[in-house]
Amino acid sequence: MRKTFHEKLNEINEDVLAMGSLVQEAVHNSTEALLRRDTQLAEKIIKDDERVNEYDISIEEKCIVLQAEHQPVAVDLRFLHSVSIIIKHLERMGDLTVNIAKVVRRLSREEEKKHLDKDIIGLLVEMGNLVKLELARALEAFKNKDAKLASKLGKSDDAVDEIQKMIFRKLFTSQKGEKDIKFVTNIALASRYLERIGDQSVNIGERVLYFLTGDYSVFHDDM
Amino acid sequence: MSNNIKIKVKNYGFYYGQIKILSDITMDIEQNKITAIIGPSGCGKSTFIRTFNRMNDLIASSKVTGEISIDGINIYKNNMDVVELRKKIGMVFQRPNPFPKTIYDNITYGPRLHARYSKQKLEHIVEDSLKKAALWDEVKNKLHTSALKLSGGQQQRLCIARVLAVDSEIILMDEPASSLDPISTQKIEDLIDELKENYTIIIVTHNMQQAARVSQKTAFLLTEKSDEPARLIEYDDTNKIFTNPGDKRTENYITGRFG
Repeated sequence: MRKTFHEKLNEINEDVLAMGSLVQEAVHNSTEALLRRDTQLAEKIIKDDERVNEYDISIEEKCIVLQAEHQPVAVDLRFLHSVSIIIKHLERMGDLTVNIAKVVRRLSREEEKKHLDKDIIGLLVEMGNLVKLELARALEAFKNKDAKLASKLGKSDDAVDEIQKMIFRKLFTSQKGEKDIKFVTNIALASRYLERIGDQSVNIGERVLYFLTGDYSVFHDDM
Repeated sequence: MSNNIKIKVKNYGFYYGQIKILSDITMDIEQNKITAIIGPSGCGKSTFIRTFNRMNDLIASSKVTGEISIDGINIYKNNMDVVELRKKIGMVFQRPNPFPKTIYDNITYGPRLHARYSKQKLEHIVEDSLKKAALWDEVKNKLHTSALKLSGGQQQRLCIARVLAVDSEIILMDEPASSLDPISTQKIEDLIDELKENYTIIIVTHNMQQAARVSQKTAFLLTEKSDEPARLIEYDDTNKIFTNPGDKRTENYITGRFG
């Protein structure tokens, strides 16, 4: 039997949540792989990202076809437009976890097998937890159509930014000689990728807020 | 009254006998803009636009309450000259309804009713009206053939030209493209857009996308219970109505969740 327009909208909604769940897993795995220097897990992240990319393309195609067939308006139009952008943020997050996995790969090389300072490990754990929480909130706001939760995301991202600055300071002040350069740069890059994953959650929150309220000003305000 | 308000509707209601069809409609219709009236079938959209040229007067048991002013003059006042009013307000219907006469006679019929014109003046009116209706190039060599030989889209543009020939200021359109193919529909929509430079246009349409494409303002009428009259639920800029309507009932209707 032919699916109705609203059934197709629900299907897209479910697809976004499934894609989000894959990205959540990738973010979790990337912090674990980084902290444990787990190259097997890093390879899994790189492989699993293909599924995220497949979701990106299939959801985008569904959005285009649905808009062409039904010319939606109002909340349905805002939903499809927002989903088309949200999946790009999720796809970008997937790419960033792949970047972290590649850092883990590089760190596994003999010359870069160094121990991380305990303080930096603590900060990376904290940052990873916050980034995971931000993504979970962004997806929850999307799932439950929760504008209040979506609007809180920007504020929680400030803490992530602050931790990243602290990691940078600690890394570059603890660097001892030229040998450390590659190691320090890789850890700095990994923390930067995590911070950008947090930014993407904020972007998703803004899109959810626009889809729910129709208010474009959310893209101009400092959230 | 603001200079750009052409029509002012205040506490308007409409009855067929004892049955109230429309209730308490208040809205300002802006000059040189296209205002779309949308709503489910049977909610009184056509009845509403027929109010502006008092076509509903032809129904013996009908009654109007409230006030409708055009250029500041209440059109339901006792001494209103309805013939003059209908000269000022032309109407285009769902199905093209050319007279079974030549293209030329269709255009000159209205002007001849209102005044005596020279042959030269009438020829000028025919050419001017057909040009404004974007039909001149297609019919200039067959002005004296039957209008019934034209295609549906051409006939509808001829009907629009007929309205333009009598120097109307307001054009009422009751689903003007609903019986036309997509190309003819596009021509009519393009024409409507051009005409707004010189006319105030009110269009009833069932086609949400058409309302979104052609109009600048949109009014949503709705009968919420079968024994109640329709009311104006929302009236706002078309962009607002179709991207972020202010009323949940409007959103439910335009997104197909009811109606």
